[in-house]
Amino acid sequence: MDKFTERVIAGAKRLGASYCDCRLIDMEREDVSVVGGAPRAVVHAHQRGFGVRVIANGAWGFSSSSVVADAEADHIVEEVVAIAHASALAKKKDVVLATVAPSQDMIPHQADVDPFTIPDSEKIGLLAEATRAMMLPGVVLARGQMQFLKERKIFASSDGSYIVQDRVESGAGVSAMAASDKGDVQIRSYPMSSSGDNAQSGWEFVEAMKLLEHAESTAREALALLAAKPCPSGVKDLVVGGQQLALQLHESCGHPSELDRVMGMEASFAGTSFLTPDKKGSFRYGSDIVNVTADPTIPHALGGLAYDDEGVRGRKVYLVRGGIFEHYLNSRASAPVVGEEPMGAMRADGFARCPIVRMVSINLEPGDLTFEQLIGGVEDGLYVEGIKSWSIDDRRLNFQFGSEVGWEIRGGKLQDMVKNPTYTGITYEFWRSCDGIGGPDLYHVWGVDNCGKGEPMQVAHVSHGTSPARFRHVQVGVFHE
Amino acid sequence: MSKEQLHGLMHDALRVSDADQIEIVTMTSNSALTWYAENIIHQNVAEHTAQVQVRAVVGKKVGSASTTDCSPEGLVLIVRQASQAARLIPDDPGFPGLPSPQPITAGRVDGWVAATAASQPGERVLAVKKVIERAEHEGLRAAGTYQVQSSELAVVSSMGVAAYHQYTVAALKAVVMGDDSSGYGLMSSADVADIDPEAVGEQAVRTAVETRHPAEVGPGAFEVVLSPFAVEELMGMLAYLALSARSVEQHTCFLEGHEGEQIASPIVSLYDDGLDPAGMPVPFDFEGMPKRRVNFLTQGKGGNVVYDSYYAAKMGRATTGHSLQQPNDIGPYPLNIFMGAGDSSEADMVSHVERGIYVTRFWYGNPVEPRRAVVTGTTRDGTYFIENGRKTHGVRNLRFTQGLVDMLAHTVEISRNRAVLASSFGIGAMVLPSIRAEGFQFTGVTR
Repeated sequence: MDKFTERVIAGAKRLGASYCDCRLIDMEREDVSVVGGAPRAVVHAHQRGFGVRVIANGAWGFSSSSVVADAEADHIVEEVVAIAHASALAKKKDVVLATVAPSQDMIPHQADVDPFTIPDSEKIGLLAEATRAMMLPGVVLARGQMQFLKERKIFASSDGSYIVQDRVESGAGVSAMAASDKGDVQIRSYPMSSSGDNAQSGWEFVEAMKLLEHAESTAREALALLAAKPCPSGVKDLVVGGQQLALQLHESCGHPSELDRVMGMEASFAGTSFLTPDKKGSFRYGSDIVNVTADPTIPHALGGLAYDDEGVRGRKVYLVRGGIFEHYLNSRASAPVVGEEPMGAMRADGFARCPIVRMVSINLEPGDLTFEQLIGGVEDGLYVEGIKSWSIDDRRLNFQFGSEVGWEIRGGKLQDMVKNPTYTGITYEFWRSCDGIGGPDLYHVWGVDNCGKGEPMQVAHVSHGTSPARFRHVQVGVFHE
Repeated sequence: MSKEQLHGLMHDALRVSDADQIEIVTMTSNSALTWYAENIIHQNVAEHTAQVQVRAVVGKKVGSASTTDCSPEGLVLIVRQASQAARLIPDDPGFPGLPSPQPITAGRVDGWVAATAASQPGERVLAVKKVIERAEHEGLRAAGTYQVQSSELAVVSSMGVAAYHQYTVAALKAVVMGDDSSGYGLMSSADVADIDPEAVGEQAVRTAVETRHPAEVGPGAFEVVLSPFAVEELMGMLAYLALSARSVEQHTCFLEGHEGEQIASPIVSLYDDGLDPAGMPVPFDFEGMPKRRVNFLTQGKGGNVVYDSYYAAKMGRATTGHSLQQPNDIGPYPLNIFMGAGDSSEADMVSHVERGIYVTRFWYGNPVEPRRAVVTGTTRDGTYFIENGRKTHGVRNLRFTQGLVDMLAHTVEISRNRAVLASSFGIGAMVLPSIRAEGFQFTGVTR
């Protein structure tokens, strides 16, 4: 153990804490944004600080500081124990943590080429070239971005754990916005919308995207959408592309499986969950072919981790197996309440925030169908891809999602492109209607770096392994005139 | 840290720069939050953070760097890093240079309350206990947060900008749940003494009790009465989609090309005013530029959008003092949105509805067609059916898919009372009334 974390834990114990953990984090970030060939924002950020969590008098306290110094450590320890004692004024029973064997470990990052060694000019140059290639007539905005993270996190606890984890993340994406004289605006993105695709990898991950090679075709698809017909409205069979399915999985399976949410801890912000403990082990969440895992062990996955922010070793569990709801994402405090073992899902957004239950990599296990077979099984339907809009109710049941692009399917073949495709449904009805999942060749783990939860808001980096999948009798083309 | 100490540190750091222009923005924050659910406190947290953001300009090259190290050595290091970064990146031909200083009208803006900054965790816990006890009395479960924050924002630049503002925020929120219903209460102010936990708890409990055993109604078009909380969710979406120069660039601004035209109902006025003491004022933006009032809609007629110095130069306008921390990919942003008060009350509005829906809150709004500001989301925490001028019973939560401009065009009544709703950005607030609107589109029902 280093002297700083040792001082924090010893201080908390001396003041009466029955448990203490300390995370000391040093993090660099770089965000690069280019619009129409010119740099719009290049931000280098450095964060260093520590967060301390204690249980005292049976209740939680947490505090953090960006001043890493002995005197500040002493001050924060005093404050956090006082906060815990204040919490205890309203406790009903003492916090109990599941027992976890202490770990001493050092985890290296998974990058081949440290992205922070690549000059800004090279990053900007690549995005500038790609966005210039997208500026075809009719394209009004071509945008590209990259984001990189490098972190060393030290976790030490009064249980005897001392874990050092290094992490490197890289991500990138481009998008083209096209506008018509009639006021129509359409967007297409590559390889994914928002910040693109992200992984626990180095510069090699960005190079492998081949942004430049895909730039023009992405822009042409945005232009084609301007001329496309509107999404038809009705109940149809739906093939959901892998990117869009990552969103579906995130919103309708990942979030409702968070045990703190199930136990009401998120009720005042993002809401609760329909996956109540009485459903564990028996509720039919999806059809027989639906198997959903929470797996922090997938190499390079953005949601991967060796240990979570409670020092729990990450392990794979089935949230849904054979269509039946089986397991939660949990923590040391919540897992025992439903008879589970902690599986490594407690994560904090930086040093300043307290760990909460988060997604890791949430994945729909691949099936055995080719893309042609998925489409070929649809007489009258729709294929949608590219995340554009998402909304789901506060129990994660009623969802409505929009995609960047859609194609009609008739007679088992893709037909005309349609614009503004939307679909809506009830989570378990939707997953129960799944009758086909693409095979391993179509499988990809998408890295999502903008998952918001908690108060104060925390942003988590998660991932979702998906193949395209087919759903029957879905309401598409939601009316909104 | 005092204003003089902070500015002294920042000016010392400016002097080590060899860039053509340099800007330092420092934000320090001490915040604490008591988080409760299921009638217990499950998290009680504090954070003491500082963030220093530096922009260095060399010709048309802009380098930036940020750090959490607010020491003299940390500031000097970050200034040097930003200056080095600027030399290594390509020109940004559109960069207009850092803005020159402008007079800041800070006289009427005082957002600091010492009692809020000094409040202790035990005080928050006692307030939260009042909400919990009120919920328990009705056999309900309370969840929510009580947050207090004290922050400093300081901006200095080699152009002569020197701005400083300190402010406090206190906000108590309650979601109270029964088996099949829930209610909501919220109060926010710069002064912790304004927070009335009994009132917050009572509002949430009353709604949860009144909406028990919800019936299924809809989907379809309904006349609605929207509480200020519901209006806030929609105006937040509108701010994101359509009220800034970036939205003009993105072609999602419904105001573009319609200045002076009647777009919304003549009773609707929507504006941003960072100096109005009725909200949570901030006299300048993250470039140290003075806040100017921007009228988006005046008696329903189209107005302007907000600008920072970058977009102002790009579009041939003057900055309105709406920059977020630079550089960013969000563009200028309105953090102090007001809707003009009407002459009605919420009770009057309900009494004027023959058959409609009362919405306490909306949730998870997201754009469907940005150009027309069509958004979707669901209701939550207290949705009532209104029959013959009375809230008769709760209804299951509904999904809406609605054009916000259309809604503002069909707004027929606005309350004189407005709620102050602290921004989730940690700075600024919206000041919003209840509204009554016709033909609001509900497109689904949840379970």
